[in-house]
Amino acid sequence: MIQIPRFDVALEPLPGMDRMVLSGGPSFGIVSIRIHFDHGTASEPDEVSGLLDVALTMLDRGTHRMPRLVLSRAFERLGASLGVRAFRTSWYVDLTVLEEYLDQALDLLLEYLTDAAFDAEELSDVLTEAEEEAETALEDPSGILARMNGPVLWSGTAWEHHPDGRVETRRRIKAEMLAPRMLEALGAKAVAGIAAEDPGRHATAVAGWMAKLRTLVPVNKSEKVRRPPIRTGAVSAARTRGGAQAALMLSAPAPSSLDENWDAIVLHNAAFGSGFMTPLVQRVRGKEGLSYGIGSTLVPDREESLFAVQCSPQGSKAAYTASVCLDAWERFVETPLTDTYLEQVKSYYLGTLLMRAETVRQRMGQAVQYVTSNRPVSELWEHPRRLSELDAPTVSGMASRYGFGTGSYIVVCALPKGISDPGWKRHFDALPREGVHLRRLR
Amino acid sequence: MRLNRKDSKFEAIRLGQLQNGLSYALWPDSRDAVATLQIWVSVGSRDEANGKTGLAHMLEHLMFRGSATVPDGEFDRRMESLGAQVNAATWLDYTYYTTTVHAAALPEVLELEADRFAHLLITQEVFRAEREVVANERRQVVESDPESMMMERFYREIYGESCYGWPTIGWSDDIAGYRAEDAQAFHQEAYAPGRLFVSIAGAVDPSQTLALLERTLGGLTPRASVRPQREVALSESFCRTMTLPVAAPRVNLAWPTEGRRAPSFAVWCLLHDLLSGGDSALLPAALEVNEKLVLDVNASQYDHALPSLFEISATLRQGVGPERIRQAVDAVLMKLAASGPTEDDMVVAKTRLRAQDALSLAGTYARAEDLGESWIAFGDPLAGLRLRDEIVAVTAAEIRGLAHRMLHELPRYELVVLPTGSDEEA
Repeated sequence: MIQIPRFDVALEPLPGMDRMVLSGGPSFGIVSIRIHFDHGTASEPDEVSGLLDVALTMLDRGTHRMPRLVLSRAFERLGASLGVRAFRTSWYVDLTVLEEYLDQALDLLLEYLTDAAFDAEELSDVLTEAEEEAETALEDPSGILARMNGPVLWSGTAWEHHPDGRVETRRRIKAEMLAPRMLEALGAKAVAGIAAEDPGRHATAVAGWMAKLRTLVPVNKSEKVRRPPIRTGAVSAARTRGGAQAALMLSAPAPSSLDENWDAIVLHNAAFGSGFMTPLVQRVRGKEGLSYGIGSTLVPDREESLFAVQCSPQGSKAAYTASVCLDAWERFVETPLTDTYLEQVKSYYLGTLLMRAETVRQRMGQAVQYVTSNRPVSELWEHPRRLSELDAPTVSGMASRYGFGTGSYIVVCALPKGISDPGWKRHFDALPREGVHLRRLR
Repeated sequence: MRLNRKDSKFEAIRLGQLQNGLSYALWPDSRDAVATLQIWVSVGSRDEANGKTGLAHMLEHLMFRGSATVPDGEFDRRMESLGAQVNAATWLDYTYYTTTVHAAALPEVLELEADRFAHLLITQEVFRAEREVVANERRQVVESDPESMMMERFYREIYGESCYGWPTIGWSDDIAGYRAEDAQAFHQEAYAPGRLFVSIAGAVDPSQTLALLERTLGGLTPRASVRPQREVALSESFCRTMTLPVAAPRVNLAWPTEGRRAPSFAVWCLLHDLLSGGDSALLPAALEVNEKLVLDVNASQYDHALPSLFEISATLRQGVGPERIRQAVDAVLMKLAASGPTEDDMVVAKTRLRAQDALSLAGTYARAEDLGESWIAFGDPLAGLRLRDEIVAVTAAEIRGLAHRMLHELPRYELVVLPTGSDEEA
């Protein structure tokens, strides 16, 4: 069995509620910093959803001191690049920079985050550009599917909206809303991560930077928004613009990531559809060639996780493929796992964990994620160790314990134009459309 | 062979050739948590024939579907049981197979690799199922993606009937038409040890790994397999328009380059960074920020071994016509041709490249890939690492000269993509 090493990763407290993660290892002269804030888009009022995403986009458009191009050139001169991203419950900013320029890059980063110009003309341009980009994102079926998930799974709740909001809500955003929103986002408690050859060398600089940030923006006590339950029994379908291929997602609620059996649930999913040897992939791709991409994933959440199978079958075979996926799932949960197969699954899954922690930067990102979820950084090697100790009856038992395979599914599909629907009636009891519950016919 | 660099970590790279003609490079680093093994085959879609396009890619899929000694499904099961993450890719000039795994599992991984390279067996049942997978892949990755449809057409227009003119995944009719025997014969012809290169990067002991290589892939029977010479016929300048279900029009401009083996390659690389290596590079600064003409603009430097391409592509903002983009791109090139990049542009571009370079070498996969790509393109695994030094040595005068050639000497290819049903289409 693969042993995941005890990586050179450590957690240090910072004044107040902030914390710092140090990750050491080969970094080829680059230092990577991530500042992860415990606050996301789900706390935004429905009428201005997307506000944080717009504010973060506007950071690139310049500060009071430096217009857009001067700012980007200043970072690039240091060999630095930035990335910002908003999620429903968090947001982060990433900085990678040549090690010798870290101090200058940190100064720039502070200006970038706390002194953005939020110019009204630039905002108008950002919003127009976003509308045009949103249209472009819908050119392929998977892009359409990605936008459909929120409204189907969490209809009528704060989770309904994609983190970048909707066209109508973004149009309501005014320049004067951005600075207060940014202050609110920066005021959330944060975890700062450092990945470098010797991260301890930079700990003082990063801790000092966090202290400066907190002088400008003290920690607020914003409430964490809880994710609502997933709406089951729904079907949603949309038409693609062209092509012959569909995009399909079949999903179901799964237990909380804080559940005492979470490790076993993770392995249960891995055994079903996360590698080429699994029954899902063997059946859908190996035996019948129905889809090039196929796999099952478990999206963790502390309230309620999401189990999902995604694939891209030919439009005319979408209903049949959905039926095959569900059949594979139902057969899987009815059949006890063997010890031999589980050992193989464990090895594969531990291999994926090892690969995901290959670089010093990846390890830092994961450790930050663990700390944000109030878990120790040692989860990097303790989680795999616990997985490796699970036995087949325990993992198989997850199916009956949580009713896997017996509950309602959510079907979301993007179907090509001109593809007739008789397959859906043949394998299910209705046509897929918004809000209709499909029952699979045996 | 030694690198012309002071950095000692590159001096650890060991190169050589086994007795059966297979070449290798080992890049050990005991600090890595894993190792990546890649097997590069000097066969790509350029080695196919009209009517059998996509065969190299089809064969890549079939390599995972069993051999005379390992039944269908067993390769994946055994690899995954070792915790290995496997993948493969085919492109114009090459096919490669990659495995990232904890180093202790390398012996079994290499046994499995040697087996499929020596004893691939393609049954009719497996072939039929895998052909469906490939047909689905084509519909998903190409036919449902306007960007891919556009590039397929662009390459067809530029390279015509010659070997870069057909898509690596193959035309639909060809995928439907070839047989298991075609793939088996293609394997026998092209997968000879002399056309293989193995790169291994990560936590490995060089001496033990070399012994392992000799014991496994060293057992492949040597046989004559000479890569056929292929000519690439490039089109004269053209300007074409096509319609696709896109939301916004695209403009693609391309120029032929001499390919990776030519001395000019380093100059093209630096030009690429100067034009679109960062938000403040010349093209985004002019077209996206200052003039607000495009949603995005990018330059791409393709590294095909035969005459290659340098491409500039842009997605247009509403109300902007293709002609305006041509003018704006030409204005950037004319300025470069007249006065060259500023000293600041040069310093920033080279700094950006240095940082990107360091980031790109952080993982074992990227290091193994660097060695393999260089072997395919230059016949020398270390050429990619040397290229970095060559780029640093490029002068502003060379950039000026290249911009002048793009404007006045080289053919220019242009493909405009309009949304289906747009006024201009009518």
